[in-house]
Amino acid sequence: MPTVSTSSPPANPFSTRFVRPDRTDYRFADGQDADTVAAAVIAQLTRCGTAAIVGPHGTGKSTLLHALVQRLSDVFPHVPWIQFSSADNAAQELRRWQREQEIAGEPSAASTTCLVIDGFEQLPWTARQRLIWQSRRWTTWRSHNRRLPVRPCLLVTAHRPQWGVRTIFRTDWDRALVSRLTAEKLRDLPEPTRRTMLRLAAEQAAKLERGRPADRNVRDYWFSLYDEYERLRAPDSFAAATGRKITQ
Amino acid sequence: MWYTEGKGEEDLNVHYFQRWNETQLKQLDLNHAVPLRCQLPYSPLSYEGTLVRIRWCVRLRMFCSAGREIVVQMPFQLVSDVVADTP
Repeated sequence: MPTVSTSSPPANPFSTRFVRPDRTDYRFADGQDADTVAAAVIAQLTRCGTAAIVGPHGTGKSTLLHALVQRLSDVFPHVPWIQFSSADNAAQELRRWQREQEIAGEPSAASTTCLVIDGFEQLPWTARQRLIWQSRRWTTWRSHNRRLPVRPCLLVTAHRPQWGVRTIFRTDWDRALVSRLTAEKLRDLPEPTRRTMLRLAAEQAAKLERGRPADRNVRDYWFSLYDEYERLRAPDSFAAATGRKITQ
Repeated sequence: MWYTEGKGEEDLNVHYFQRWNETQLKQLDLNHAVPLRCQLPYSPLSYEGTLVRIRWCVRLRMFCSAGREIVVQMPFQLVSDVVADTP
């Protein structure tokens, strides 16, 4: 018979649910105002039509997209979003998505759409070029269709600049910013644990700074702190929180 | 409902769902506790691992006017009889 206890051990502040892109606010370096920078990014996007957010792994590209999507929805009536996390079957996924759009009667490419592709490089070169070509065709089409309030756009994320796509924003490891975000995640911990975690976080960050720039990945950095936090937790945290011990 | 928490992909399942519409909400006396009753399953039990945890909770999602949404949750542990009270 299952029984219920109303206490619960504290969550690890670096769990996926706290660090995934849609749960972390994007912060711009030097404390720049998010609304102003986002507006500037969107203005650039609507000017050039085909644009990329470029940066190494785990530096906030998807987080920035999540921060922009609400603002994009204010400008474009239709903002479809496709995410590719692996190159396996990415082209087939894109084709399937395009067929579903046609069947569902969603607005065609040549309408007020901003197609967002997170992980553009996962697509084969030919599929990427086709999308870029389509995007340019929309632009030409737009010049003859003044009724459209805004130009259809393609916004992608990639690790490197893409041929035929203008890089409008670069994300990168910024130690001061990462330290500030990490401190915010540790804010609610008990003071001794918080102090220890801050020290471990600083050590890990210093280690990354000494290593290869390609290894400076905020997501992996936070997952390494997840492990540090687990090591700090009492091995019987379940028992500590509930007053019970698992015997099975 | 239960959900997983850890370093990897997340999972969740709503075990019991109850909706109150605006009229029903007006009839409820929200100045006092409103009981919620359901039969809990034998699994998954609450689990505390290093890579993954299974958390149970009661989650209340309130849809307010102007698209505002308030979410609060009350965690609890679901344990089995083989969990002893003493070390």
